[in-house]
Amino acid sequence: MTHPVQGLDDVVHQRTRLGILAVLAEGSRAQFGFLQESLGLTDGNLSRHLQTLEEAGYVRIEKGYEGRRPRTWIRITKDGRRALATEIDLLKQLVQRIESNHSAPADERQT
Amino acid sequence: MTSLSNEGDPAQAKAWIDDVSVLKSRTRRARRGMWFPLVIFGLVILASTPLYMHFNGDSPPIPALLAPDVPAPTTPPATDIAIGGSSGLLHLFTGGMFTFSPLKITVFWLVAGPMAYLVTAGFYWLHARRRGVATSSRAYVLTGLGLFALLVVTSTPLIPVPVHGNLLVRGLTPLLAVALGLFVLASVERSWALLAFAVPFLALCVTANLYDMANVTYRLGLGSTGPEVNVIVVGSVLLLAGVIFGLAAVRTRQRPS
Repeated sequence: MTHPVQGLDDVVHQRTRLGILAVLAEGSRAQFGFLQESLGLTDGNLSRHLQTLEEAGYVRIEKGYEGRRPRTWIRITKDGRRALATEIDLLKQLVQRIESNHSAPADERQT
Repeated sequence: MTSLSNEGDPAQAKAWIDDVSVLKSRTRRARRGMWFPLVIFGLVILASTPLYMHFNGDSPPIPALLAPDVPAPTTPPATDIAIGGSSGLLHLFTGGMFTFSPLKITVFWLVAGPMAYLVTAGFYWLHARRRGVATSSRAYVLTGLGLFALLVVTSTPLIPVPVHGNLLVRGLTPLLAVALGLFVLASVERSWALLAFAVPFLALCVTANLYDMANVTYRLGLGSTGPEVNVIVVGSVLLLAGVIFGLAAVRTRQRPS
């Protein structure tokens, strides 16, 4: 049986990017400022992570104006939702696997 | 440290899963606005009350098909009513044979129903701008408009749909469209609480279409005799639910996460 860690996607398997996708998956879209506030990130840091996610096709960035104020809205794509669901699933498997290893007698433990 | 080791660190994996769940619930709290459509539709329903009232204690004309001994009805069965004859454009899709003004009721709902959905769409748009996170209200608004369109279309002779006569006599079929829309709203808002409200509310709306709640209020000595009692009960329940959901949203937003 394959170890769950082997199925992890490097783009999503990062705490901040996982958080970004989690926030975006909950609504239909979110503003840059909302993501910044929710995750406690600086402009530059959030921009860099969003760029990585956009390059992977997991988010779509829409820049525009509301009145005179520039606004950036970010949406999660279908691939992004799928990647998030897979990551959560693998993390849960990982926890379950290690917990069951700890609870099993020493001679039955998997490696 | 921002990624797990190859062997996997269960404590960290757990922390990440918890992070995701906290972020999701915080975002959900920020974006939810389901109280608004409940309040709007509650007010719209209550605003229609005067159209359902029986003034001076008179009863509206009873159609002959339901009371064969009385003189011929002054209003034909609701499904056949149309302005300008059966080929007319405006069919009385709400029914309302037991009301004095089925035409006014139809015009009211034809305007107020779609307007309420459009106002709701506007609210969600503004709410998203203000909060920085959006709920896609499109499915709810389109379903609501579609249900009203379905009521109109099925009331024309073009698409004859067999409908139990009792459903049409009180002119309250728009309440069913409102109630069914709440299931879609519960889905887009991902709210079990709203779903738990939508189920009994639909049952209440079906009851309002089939039974005169005035029977109860009359026995209680409250006086009213017409379908306006049904309208007041349904509208008040929806309005109250909207207020409760609104207060709950304010409370959860103020709670530190």
